[in-house]
Amino acid sequence: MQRHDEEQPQSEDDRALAKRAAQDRQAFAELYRRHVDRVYRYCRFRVHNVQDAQDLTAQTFMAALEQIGHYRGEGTVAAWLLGIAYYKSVDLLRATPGTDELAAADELAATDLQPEALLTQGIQRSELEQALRMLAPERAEALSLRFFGELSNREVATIMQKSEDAVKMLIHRGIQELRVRLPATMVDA
Amino acid sequence: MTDHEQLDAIAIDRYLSQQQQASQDTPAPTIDPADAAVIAALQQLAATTTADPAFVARLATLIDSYEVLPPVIPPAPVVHTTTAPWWTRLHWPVAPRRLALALAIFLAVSTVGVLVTTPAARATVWDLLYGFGLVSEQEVAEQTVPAVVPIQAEVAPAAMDLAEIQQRAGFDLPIPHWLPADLFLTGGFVEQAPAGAQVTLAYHLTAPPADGYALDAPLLFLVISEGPIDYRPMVAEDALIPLQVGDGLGMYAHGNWAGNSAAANAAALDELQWDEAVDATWLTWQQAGLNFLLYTQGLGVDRSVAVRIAESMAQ
Repeated sequence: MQRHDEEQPQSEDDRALAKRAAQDRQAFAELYRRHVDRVYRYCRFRVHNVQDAQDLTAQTFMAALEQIGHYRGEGTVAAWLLGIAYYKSVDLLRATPGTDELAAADELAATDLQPEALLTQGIQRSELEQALRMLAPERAEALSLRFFGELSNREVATIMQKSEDAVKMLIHRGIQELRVRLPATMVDA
Repeated sequence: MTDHEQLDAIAIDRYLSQQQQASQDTPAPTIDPADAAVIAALQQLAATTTADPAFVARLATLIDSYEVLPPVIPPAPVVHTTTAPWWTRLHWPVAPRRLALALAIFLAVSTVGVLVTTPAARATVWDLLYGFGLVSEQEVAEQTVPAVVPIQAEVAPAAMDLAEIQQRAGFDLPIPHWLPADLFLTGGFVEQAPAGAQVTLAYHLTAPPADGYALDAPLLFLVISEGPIDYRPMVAEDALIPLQVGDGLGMYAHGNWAGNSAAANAAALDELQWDEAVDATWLTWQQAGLNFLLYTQGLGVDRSVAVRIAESMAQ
């Protein structure tokens, strides 16, 4: 077994918390504190605007609160939460087709990020965000779960109901597509 | 997929996994520097993106106060009348469950209290109470306050205007400063519950008819309460969506229980299905220590319009 598919050390504590959370709101609150940024970050780059990302994050944790008693500890809590967020985002994007691009237009002007910040290797944040929006949906999904959800390849595969090899390929092709979409001067800097 | 592409994909996956685990045990696989640049940028983007602390705090508060109910719709507190309810004589497609739930708002906020809408509206609300089997004539006769019975005899007190409602409420009553279409206030009533005063305002596009209160007509109900408003299980749990209302969070739902006359006659509440296609919206939120419930039907109100109405009340 490759090490990258092993679970995060914190997951055991998460499981214990999750078991208590069905009866103990404080335990759920602790899970929330641990994972809210990760869930938000994933949502943020799935819907590409702050408002929807916040709504989606709230929906995810509300659904988790309702369903925490059904969490069986078969995967990490993070993967379970992001699985909820994934289905919520699918519903949202299906219900509001096309709004993604419209919202994105405003987002650069009013955002929680710094559009012109330089990330690394000469790649600007705004350019990378724009390129992410244009990605093929499945590639974007795989990249979002892997990078912003910080999930393992196996966890991404479980959520997307694909093989691990398929997810590896989606991520590889997503990165290649980003390279194409980003200005050559940035990637090659 | 070529072998070369497959090898690249595996190398990137190993590279990523080592990055994620910050492992120094084994050297990172060599990958194309341009791929590494994109990966580094993505990681940087992730590391520098966090939720707004104010949002995190608000959601934490909402979670802390959120009451998880069992996923069962309990039956309404029904006392069945022995006579055939009038809604069985109505001409459908008026969905009786929708009407019942619209009425349930009234019941939720004001059981058998003081009605201060117009006389016609008062009389018809009572018709509905009988009609939906939510109150029996006998129950009304035995349990309601004396002021209720004269409504049937058309000797009810004069209708309250907004100023009177305000005075009776005892708190600074916020009202919407923006409403869709040409809605106007058609009535309202105040209940003094143990947790504090609770006001219900009704808005319509046209005045209610003198001989009946068209609950199937486009309408907007606004409940403003000093105490909690129990809007569930009037709304299906799965339909509830948390969203931002002003500086706080609210719960929104679109749709209503699907129903037809047969279903209304035969089905138990827990057999009903939530229908998101129904033109009805529900929004609850808190503001300045008060609890709000907005219900609309037949007005084409969507999430953004509902939120706009809610936020106009803070102005």
